[in-house]
Amino acid sequence: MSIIRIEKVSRNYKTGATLVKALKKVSLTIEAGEFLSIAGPSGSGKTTLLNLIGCIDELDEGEIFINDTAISSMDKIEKTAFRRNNLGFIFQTYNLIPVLSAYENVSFVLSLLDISEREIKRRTYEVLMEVGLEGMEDRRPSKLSGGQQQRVAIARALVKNPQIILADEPTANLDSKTGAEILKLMKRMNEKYHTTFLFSTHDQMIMDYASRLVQLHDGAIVSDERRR
Amino acid sequence: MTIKLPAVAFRNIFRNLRRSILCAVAIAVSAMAIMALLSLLETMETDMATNLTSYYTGEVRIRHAEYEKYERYNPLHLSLDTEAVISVASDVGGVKAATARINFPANLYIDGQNNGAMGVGVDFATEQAFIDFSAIVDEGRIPKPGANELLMGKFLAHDLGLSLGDKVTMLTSTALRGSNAMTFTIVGIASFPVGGLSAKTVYIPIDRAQYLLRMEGKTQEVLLLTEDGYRERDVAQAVETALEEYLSLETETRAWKDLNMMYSFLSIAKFIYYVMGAIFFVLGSTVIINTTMMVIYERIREIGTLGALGMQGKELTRLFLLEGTFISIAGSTLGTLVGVLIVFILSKTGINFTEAMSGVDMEISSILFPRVNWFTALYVWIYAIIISSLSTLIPSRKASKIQIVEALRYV
Ligand SMILES: Nc1ncnc2c1ncn2[C@@H]1O[C@H](COP(=O)(O)OP(=O)(O)OP(=O)(O)O)[C@@H](O)[C@H]1O
Ligand SMILES: [Mg+2]
Repeated sequence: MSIIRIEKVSRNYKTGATLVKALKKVSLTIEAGEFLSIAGPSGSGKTTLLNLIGCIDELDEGEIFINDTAISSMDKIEKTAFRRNNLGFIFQTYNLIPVLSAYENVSFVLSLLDISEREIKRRTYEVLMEVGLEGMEDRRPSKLSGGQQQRVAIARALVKNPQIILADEPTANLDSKTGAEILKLMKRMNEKYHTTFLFSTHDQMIMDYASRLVQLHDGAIVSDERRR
Repeated sequence: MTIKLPAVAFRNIFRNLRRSILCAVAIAVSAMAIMALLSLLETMETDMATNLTSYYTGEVRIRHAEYEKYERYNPLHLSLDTEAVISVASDVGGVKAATARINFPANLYIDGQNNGAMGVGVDFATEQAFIDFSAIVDEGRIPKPGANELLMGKFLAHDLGLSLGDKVTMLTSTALRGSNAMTFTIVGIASFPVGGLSAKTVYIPIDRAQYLLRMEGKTQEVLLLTEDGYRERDVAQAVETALEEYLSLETETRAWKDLNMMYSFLSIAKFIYYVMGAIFFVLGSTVIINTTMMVIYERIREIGTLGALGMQGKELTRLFLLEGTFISIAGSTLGTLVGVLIVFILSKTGINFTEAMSGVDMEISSILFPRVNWFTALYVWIYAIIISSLSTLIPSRKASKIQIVEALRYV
């Protein structure tokens, strides 16, 4: 069974008098456990697509099903609860909470769920170790490098063991070596936990890590290839 | 321990500490000002009440029913039978003390010149319940009954160049509209709390006043103090009825609050100050409203992130509300404590209104000693916290309405 089903989805933005068609009847089916890259030039609609799947934007036409649930049938509170339980986000700019330590940034998302204190602690330490941040638990984001911050962000996304992790250009702010490391880490997590990863990128090298590459152009899918 | 929302809110305070402090100070200044203002008003009110009931009207005042109608002609003939009225009134439930007083305009004749004064004939023995003479007599002692002795206000003595042992001749018109004069020896000089009294009054024994005014056994008014737990108005009513029943005497018997318009004005003034204080406070709160608005604007991407991670709008609102509440608690605590400190210092030094009150005919003491009222402090503290926290709720609710996509795009 497919985990995400996108059916003829359109999204239009109005800026003043002009209407931008960010997505034009896009259809795509994603299976659980995929490591899927969405590529395409700037303005092609990558972010828009990820935001729609992430239930933080509203579609104008079509429907997206996640686990066979139509997302447009959910209200704001249900969507938030859905994100809390099932989705992980990784941002280009890391977006860690500056007043929280690495440990707290990760454990904070668990505190929103109904999980025991002990379990929160166990999982947080485990995932921080997994992303290679042992010994840096108490550092605030300002005391971490970009790559380290993104590792915290990955740990934050992973820690609740979500079905899907959405990453919009997770390596765009990193140098290519660090970017590659981050991708390898994501890939390893994908293999270990069978979490579905969707990430967007411009970068050819990053695309090479994907098990499936979807190319967008002007709001439409122009190619969809499985690799290896 | 997993970090909880209040802890995050608390840490957020320190992100821009200077701004948080500024906010807290704005709240503190308001709380302090209100604390000081309310304490001053309460002091004025209790002071005025004490002065009125001690020196002017007692808690209940009994006069001849017709007296007020002819008051400006000084109708001393519309008098009461001192003993009969006091004995009936004293038996009424709730009456704690009674005394007779005669107030009369007098001229003090000194070196060929007449100087206006206010004479008061009092029974110094029963008067002790109303006036604490030991506290106000600066020099000498109180006059003895039956002796031609007087107690003079300090400023009056000063103005007339008189001192202890000097003799003064007092001229006045009698109850029978004749003229009479008597010579008294100054045996005491008193400084009354109310400047006007010190500048005008002379106290003489009531029997001497009765003799001088040709009203033996009579009095112009009888003043009463009531027991705790009784309402003065009820007592006044009961006394009036009793006097009518037992003496067939029609009197005008009224509670002090009904007699002193100024006191009612003070109560109205107090209410106005409360309202003004509240407005002042709301203005103070604009600082925290403005700051919270700025904070939300600055952290908009963080709000977007937290929303994406699954934090509900209500929780986001709570995050900012808590931050505002912490600042409010800090500000309110600081302000209330400083306010209490100011009042405490003033309770030691006193506030001197002698200059300000000169020429003002109000029954307020020249030097006020405010007291620290912990109830008022608690009230101001809680009030300040609630108002400023509620103020932050207005902008905080915005945090829950922010579109996550927009917030995340924000750089
Ligand atoms: N909130 C918005 N208001 C107006 N137009 C928007 C909005 N968001 C996106 N767009 C437009 O929709 C189109 C697709 O934008 P999107 O951000 O999805 O592109 P992208 O592929 O992520 O580009 P980039 O690689 O630059 O991030 C663009 O033309 C963009 O200008
Ligand atoms: Mg984008």
